[in-house]
Amino acid sequence: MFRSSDREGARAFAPPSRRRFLQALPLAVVAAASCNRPPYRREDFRVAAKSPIALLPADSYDGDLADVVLRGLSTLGQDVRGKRVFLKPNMVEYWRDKAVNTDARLVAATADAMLKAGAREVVVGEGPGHRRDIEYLLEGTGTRDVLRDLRLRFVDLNHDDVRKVVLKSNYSGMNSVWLPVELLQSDYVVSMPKLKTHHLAGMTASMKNLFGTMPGAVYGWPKNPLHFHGIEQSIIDLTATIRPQLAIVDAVLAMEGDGPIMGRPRQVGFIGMGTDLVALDSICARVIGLDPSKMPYLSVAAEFMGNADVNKIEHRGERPDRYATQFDVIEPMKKLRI
Amino acid sequence: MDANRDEVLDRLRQRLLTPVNTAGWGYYSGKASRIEPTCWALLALGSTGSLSTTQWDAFARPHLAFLAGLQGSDGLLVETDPALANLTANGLAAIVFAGQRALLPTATFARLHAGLVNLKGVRLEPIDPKQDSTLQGWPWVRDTFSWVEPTAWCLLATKVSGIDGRSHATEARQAEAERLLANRMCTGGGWNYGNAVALGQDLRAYVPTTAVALMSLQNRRSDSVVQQSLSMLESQRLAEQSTMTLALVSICLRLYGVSTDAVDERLTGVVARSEESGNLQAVAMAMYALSADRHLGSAFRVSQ
Repeated sequence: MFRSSDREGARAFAPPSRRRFLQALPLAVVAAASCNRPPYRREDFRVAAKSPIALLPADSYDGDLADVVLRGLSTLGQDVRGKRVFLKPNMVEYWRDKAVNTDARLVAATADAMLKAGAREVVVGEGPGHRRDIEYLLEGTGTRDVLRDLRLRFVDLNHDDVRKVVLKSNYSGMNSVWLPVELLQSDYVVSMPKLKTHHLAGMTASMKNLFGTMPGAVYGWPKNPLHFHGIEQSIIDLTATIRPQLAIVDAVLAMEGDGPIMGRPRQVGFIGMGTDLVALDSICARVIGLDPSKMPYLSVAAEFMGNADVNKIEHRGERPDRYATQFDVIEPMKKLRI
Repeated sequence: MDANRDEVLDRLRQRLLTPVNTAGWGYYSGKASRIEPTCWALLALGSTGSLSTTQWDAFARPHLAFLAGLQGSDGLLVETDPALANLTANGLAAIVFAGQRALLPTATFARLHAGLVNLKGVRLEPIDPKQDSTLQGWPWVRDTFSWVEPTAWCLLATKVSGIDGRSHATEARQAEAERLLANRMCTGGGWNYGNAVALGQDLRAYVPTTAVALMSLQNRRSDSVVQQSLSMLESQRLAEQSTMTLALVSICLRLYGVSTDAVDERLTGVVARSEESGNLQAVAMAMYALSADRHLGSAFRVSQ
């Protein structure tokens, strides 16, 4: 947990709010905003009139998940032929019998689907934010076995070579970040989170999952500079900069309560896919009973890099109503409920 | 030392000696040289006693020059931006430098030591009654909070280096770092990355961070914090079976005079995974741990 390290000190227990988000912006960003100049170049972002997403039924991890992912790729019109695909699951910690991580079977199925769809290469990589020992996590989560079966390469993003990248939006005031070279060399990045509540951001899905691309050997464990620059601001900036081509959310078994580590498993039963991470995360929030407009990282991101408005989201899979529920959340996060 | 372990050590040595980079080692094969894997490789290869002093000097000099070449104006070694100097890596480098002073440019070690002593984690107002966030140890990077791993490595570095005797500044940093580690200890002993509680809920300790923290507190073994955590580590020594963790456990327990036979046996078995993945840092850590009969963990040993 990051509370004690949050630059906002005692206020860190408060739920996210747009007002708090704006109060936390760096002075340079505020100054630019006062001149009607947002902390990004408008020409770098083009938001589709409608963002397609697909919620695909999956009751368990034992079915033919590769087929589910293939159907999702087809439904969303994705062409990965000849591409070097990078899968970024969430493997922040390992707790047996807790739904902390993106299930290894879904990672394997996605890799399989990408190869069947013509990907030139599939690489899996993660930079866990709490645990430094990647071998332990790969063993514990079963990821090592599935990678070996598929002869896939794993990249430890915490310890990869790094390159400095200028941020495409700069709400955090970091201006630039160091990112793993293996990630930057990929043609097609897929954010593959586990759908979970998050005790600071409200929810973690495909955007928050990108914290795991930040190399620990540069930023430490946890990646504390991101907290000092604002968790929500950093989520936006990383998403705007990395711009994954696709997100695949593991909501077969999700986590509610005191997520992202200490919560409880909660069966939901779908795999969410979308090319617009803002749209997909917004729908995931609604499914678990949270209002995306109350979550600044989603509402601000919706101003320039994606759609959060339900009228601008096209459902090509199941309707969200089929899965709509209300996740248990910690007390401060109840204000985020719909 | 049994034949199997000798065989493994020979294999690990060859793995590290297979030239990849001109100077230094990367975290993984084929990657750019970095501070931590270079330090561990030097510790591992320097511990075997297979080279004469002259041979070792010739071998080590370019690798140490690589490290020294990363030194910034504040004394810290920097891989990326000066503001992002990694304090865990710098603590480890100070330990390596302490044993190789004669091969380093003048003042390199003293400047690194000063850089470590001068840098603190930020102080925050207390939030959780169980966690005193006013205590300042070492952060991973400048202008952030203090965490267990960098605090432990830097604390250990100040203890083993002995460069400034017992200066007031160093002693004050050591005392506060020890208070911080005591405060961040998880219920039942041991440490994770640095938060013992979250929302009033106890978080569990990790094995590798517990080993590192205990290494830094080896001269405080009568303290209840150390006793509880050592007990936890002994009981959990095989709970997390990876190369890095088992190596750290072995190095730590040896410093405390606890048998490492079972840990070393398991480590001998799992290190092949790190060889397979090209994890050079883990390979070097395993080699250092498994050759401890020859060096007794002297690089990390604090005078009692």
